[in-house]
Amino acid sequence: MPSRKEDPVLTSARREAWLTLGIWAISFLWTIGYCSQFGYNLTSAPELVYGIPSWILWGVITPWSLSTVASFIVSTFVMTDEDLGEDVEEPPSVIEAQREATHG
Amino acid sequence: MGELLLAQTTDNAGQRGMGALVALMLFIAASVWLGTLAQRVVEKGNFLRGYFLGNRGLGVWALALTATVQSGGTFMGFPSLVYSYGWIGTVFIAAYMVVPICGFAIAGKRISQISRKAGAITIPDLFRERFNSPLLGMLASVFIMVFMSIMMVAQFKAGAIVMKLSLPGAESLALAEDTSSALDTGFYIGLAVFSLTVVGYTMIGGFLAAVWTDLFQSVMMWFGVLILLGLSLYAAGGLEAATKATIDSQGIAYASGPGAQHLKNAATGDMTIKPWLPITGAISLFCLWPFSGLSSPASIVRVMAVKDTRTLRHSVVVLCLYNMCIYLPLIMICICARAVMPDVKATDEVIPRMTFFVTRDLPGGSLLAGLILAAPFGAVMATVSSYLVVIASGLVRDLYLRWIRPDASQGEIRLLAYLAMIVVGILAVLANLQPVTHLQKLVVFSTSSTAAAFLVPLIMLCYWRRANAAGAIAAMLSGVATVIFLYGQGIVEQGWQQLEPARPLGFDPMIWSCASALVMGSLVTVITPPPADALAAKFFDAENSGESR
Repeated sequence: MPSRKEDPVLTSARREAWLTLGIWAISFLWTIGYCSQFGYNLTSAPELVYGIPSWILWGVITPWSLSTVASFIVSTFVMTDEDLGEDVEEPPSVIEAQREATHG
Repeated sequence: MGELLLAQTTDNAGQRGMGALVALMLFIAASVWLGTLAQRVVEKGNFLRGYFLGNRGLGVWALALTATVQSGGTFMGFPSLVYSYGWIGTVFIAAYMVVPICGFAIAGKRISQISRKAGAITIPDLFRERFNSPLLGMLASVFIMVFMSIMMVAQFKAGAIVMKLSLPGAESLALAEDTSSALDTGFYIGLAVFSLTVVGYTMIGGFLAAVWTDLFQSVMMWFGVLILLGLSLYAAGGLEAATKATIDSQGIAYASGPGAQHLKNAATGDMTIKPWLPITGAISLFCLWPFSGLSSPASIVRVMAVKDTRTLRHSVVVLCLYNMCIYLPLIMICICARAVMPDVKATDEVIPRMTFFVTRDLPGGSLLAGLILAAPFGAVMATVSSYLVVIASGLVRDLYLRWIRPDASQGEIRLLAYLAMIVVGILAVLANLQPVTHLQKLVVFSTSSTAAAFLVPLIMLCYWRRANAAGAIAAMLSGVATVIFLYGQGIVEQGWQQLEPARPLGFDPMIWSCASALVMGSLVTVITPPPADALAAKFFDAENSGESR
């Protein structure tokens, strides 16, 4: 029985997808966790840092900056380049339909 | 205050308004020129692939700055929300921190690879060939055309508003918010100019025209937003002064969650407070933006057209930096706007109005205003042109060539593509003769619907070898049915005017629809026969796999 070998593009794409989901999850937990804890239903005016409410600075702008750094690291050093393959001229179904239309 | 400003600006309104108009006209001319450049490239090869997919040659800048995000919502709907509800708008948009990596790294590589293996030019092609199912292709085609048409109608309104506000003499209205008939005439002139331009250049150059003008417009947006940020901070006396002024006038809720709008009862003078973004809403949006971005048809098509994987990787970085420079400044601009123009009623127009406000006393201010206004105008044009291409490709490739005349000549296809764009443009104009309200709500509905239709089937398409056509169809149908059901329930409960969906447990329809698509897609897949081995092998196995070695 012939052996089946997974497409290397699929293997690397899947690994990168999981990594990206990890970055999404950490950003999600940080932002939602911090903002819900320190930014919601305040009873007094929030402390301002350069005019920005401090909960926005720590709850959104900081993770925004860090996720940008993480995205840079992953896309530059972790993601791999692969050959995407040659373009098929037309899908088989289109060629089939054209042949049928031409011949009858 | 408003009357004083009106009196000051009416004197030289004509002269100043002309400057803004000239700037916008130059911008339009540049876009049309790019359209003609694109046409030359399209002429060189296969018309369909060139016109609808740019011969798969997108590079880093073209992909990064055009693939997902900016739309009329960015410069109309979103600023309106920040202006109305305050700093909580930052949480509304926070997920844009991960939009670039999610958009390109979760499925980008696989989409561009599978589309090459399948010879797919459109998204329905992609689904049809990967699952070997004409029915699935047809469904994808119908959903794309319906939801993108809804989104496009909203975009036409946004484009017309910007054009209207830059007409000579209109800026006094921009400050005073006159709602007289002059404004309506301006809206229709704006609508006509906007529609002719965008349909014109997209028709000439197809996909590449949309992408190149989008790139040009994105760069203009970047400059526009940063200049407006500087002028807004100056006008408000700095961000700290602006935030403090808004807290004083609007209350603590303006600088905290869930955000609140103070509504004054005209009859009694009583103030009521309306909370805005509960934490469940924030959770929903953190899922909505990245995953709807990744599964939005305009974005998928661009990823299909990408040149190579290096382009995908570098686009992540470029888009990350770009997003930071667009969204965070926009929030600050809106906070400043609330501080210096506290009573804008037409909040969708806050960015154009702020632009005229901060440039009104500058020498050459009108020309500068025009350049800044090019940002929202460009965002809207870019979105509309990319949607026009996707919708026209759906009509030509997925309906006409698949079902009516597979052997149509190149000339016939070209004529039909042009015709499709003109007809879609006319329909969008007709839909705007009675302008839609709630721009952002329409954008959110359409974003939720496309995510519901495509996210789960797209992941199945990329990563699940066992996935079959029945499973993908079940996922697509159940996702869309869930969104429509929840919007229907919301409309029954609150009426048409609100256009608010029901939100079980406080979560957005997108969460429920994707959950239902995931469950139904998986369930139907496992209880129906697996796909033919040859089909799965074509998309999941290495090229030489299975051959005896």
